[in-house]
Amino acid sequence: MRIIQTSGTEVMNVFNLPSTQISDPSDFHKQDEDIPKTKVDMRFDQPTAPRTEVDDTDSTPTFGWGEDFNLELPYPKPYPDSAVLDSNSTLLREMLSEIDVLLTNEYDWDEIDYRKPTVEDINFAKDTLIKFVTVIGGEGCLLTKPYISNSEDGGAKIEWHSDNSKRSLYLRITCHESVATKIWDESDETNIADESFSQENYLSLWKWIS
Amino acid sequence: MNTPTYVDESEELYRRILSNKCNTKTPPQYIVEASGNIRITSPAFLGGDRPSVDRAKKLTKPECTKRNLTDGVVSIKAADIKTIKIRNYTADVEITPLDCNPAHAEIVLIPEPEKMTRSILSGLRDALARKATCKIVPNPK
Repeated sequence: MRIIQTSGTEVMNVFNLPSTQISDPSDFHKQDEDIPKTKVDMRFDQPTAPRTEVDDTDSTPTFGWGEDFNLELPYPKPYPDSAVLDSNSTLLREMLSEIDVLLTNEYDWDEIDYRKPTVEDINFAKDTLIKFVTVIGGEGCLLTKPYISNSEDGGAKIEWHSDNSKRSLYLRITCHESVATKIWDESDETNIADESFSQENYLSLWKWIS
Repeated sequence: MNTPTYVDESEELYRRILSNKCNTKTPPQYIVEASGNIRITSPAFLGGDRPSVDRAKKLTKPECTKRNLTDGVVSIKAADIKTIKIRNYTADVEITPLDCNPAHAEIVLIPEPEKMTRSILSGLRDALARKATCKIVPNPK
C-alpha cells in the first residue's frame, strides 16, 4: 500500500471513505448506507497538493492515478458489525494458538488408537478454521469459544455445545478429511449424524449450533 | 454362547476418569469450564470398542470404581445410554460380570456392527461424554 503524504502532516484518505470517528454503532450503519455493499468502485485522482512518498517498498496493490478498479470485499453485504469481527478475530487467534499446541502433545498414540498429528494436519486445520471464521463472521455471526483437542484421526477436533438447544457440533479436521458431527437430543433420542465439513455448509453448521 | 442380557434403564453406571494432572497418556478426559462446571470429554470413554462401566447397584460406593487416589468417577444413566442412536445402531449396556469385578458391564451397539469404524466409535464416545456427569472430582494431588 502506498501512503501518500501531503506537504503538511495530514495523511490523505486514499480510499476516500468517511473519516469521522464512529462512537455510536448506529452511526456506523448510517454511514454505511451510502457505501455500495459488495463491490466498491473507486477511482484514484491525482492529488494536487505536493506529496511525499512515505513507503514505496510495499507496492501491493498498485494503482495508477486515474485508473478505475474494483475492490472485492472479503465479506458479502451488509457489512458485519465491527465489534463482531473484532471479537471473532481475537478468538480466532486464540484458537490457532491452541491448535499449534496439539502438535506438541505426547500421548500414548498407539495405546489409545489415535493418529499422531502431522505439521500438514495442523496447518490444514488452521487454514480451514480461518476460512470458517471468515465466512461466518462475514454473515455477522459471533464466534464462541470452542474446546479444542487432538482428533482421533490426527489433526484437530473442535467442539461447541449448546446446552439450551441440547446440540453439540464436533469438527474433525485433518489434511485427508474434514468431518462435522452433529449430536442432538430430540424426542427421547440422541441422534448422531456426520457430514463433510466444507465451505458450502460452514454457515448452516454454525447456525445449527448457535 | 449365552444370550446377552442388558441392564435396566433405571440403573446408574460409573466409570473412572484420570486426573488431568496425572494423565499423560490420553487427551484430557474432562475440562473445567469457566463456571466451575466439569464437562466430560470423549477420551473418558477410550479403551476398545465396548467401553467398560460399573453398575452402581453392585457397588457399595462410587469410590470402588477408582483405581488410584487421584482418579475421578463419572456417572451415566442407563436410560440416557439407551437413547443413543448412531446410523442404524442403538446403544445399550450389556451385563458382563468378571470374577474380579461382579459389577462389570460394557456399553455396546445393537445390532453389533460387523466392523466398528473409527467414525462410529468416535460418535459413540462423543455422545457418551455428553451424557456423563462428574460423580467424584479427580484429585490432582
